[in-house]
Amino acid sequence: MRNELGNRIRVFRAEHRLSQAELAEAIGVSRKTISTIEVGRFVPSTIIALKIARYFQVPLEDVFFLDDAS
Amino acid sequence: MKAQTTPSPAELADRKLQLIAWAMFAVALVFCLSVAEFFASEPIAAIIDIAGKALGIVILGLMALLYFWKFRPMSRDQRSHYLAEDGFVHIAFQKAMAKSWMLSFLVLVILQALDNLILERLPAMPLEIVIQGILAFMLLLFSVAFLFLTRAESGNEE
Repeated sequence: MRNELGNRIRVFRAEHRLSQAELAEAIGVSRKTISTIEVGRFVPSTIIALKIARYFQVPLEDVFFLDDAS
Repeated sequence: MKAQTTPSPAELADRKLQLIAWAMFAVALVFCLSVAEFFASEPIAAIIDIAGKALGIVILGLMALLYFWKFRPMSRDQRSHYLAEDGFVHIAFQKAMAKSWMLSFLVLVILQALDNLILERLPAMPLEIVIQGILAFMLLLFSVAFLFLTRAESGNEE
């Protein structure tokens, strides 16, 4: 069994009516970093993950989760 | 959506790394030309020599122009901020460096192991040409790996 990192960034962005560029600017990363995290192409560092969760004012587990793939 | 007039430090950091990768690709081409010059006949070698020098000057000029155009507005605070960034492009840069080093090492080890099959069949070359060939190979591997890792994928950007 393989664990992949899933996320709900797109959902939180939609709720907050934020573009990728605006979220990227707010947490101090590039837009490409956000877009690649969203689609699961890039696993972010703990610091970036915590910054995203803090920005949306939710626990880390609400934004990121382990997606079990066989 | 808010209109962005100036790029953020993180965007500038990404652009800088992309510029470095393209510069490495261009330098690899210059090294390739130097190696080709060694194997070419005299009239063609003269043309390659001029082309290599011209390419070198164009690369230097272009890189200097892009650097001052895109990065000069950054303050000291911005520079220190982006250095701490561990974003996608930064990690891709590190991965490309590791991959190119590993692959170059493997190729050199294999060449060394198969010296009777490959190396002895090559014409004798000055050390300078051998070094330029290895540098060209390593730089090409790095830049191609980086460009592949950071390639754009449709449908994930808005």
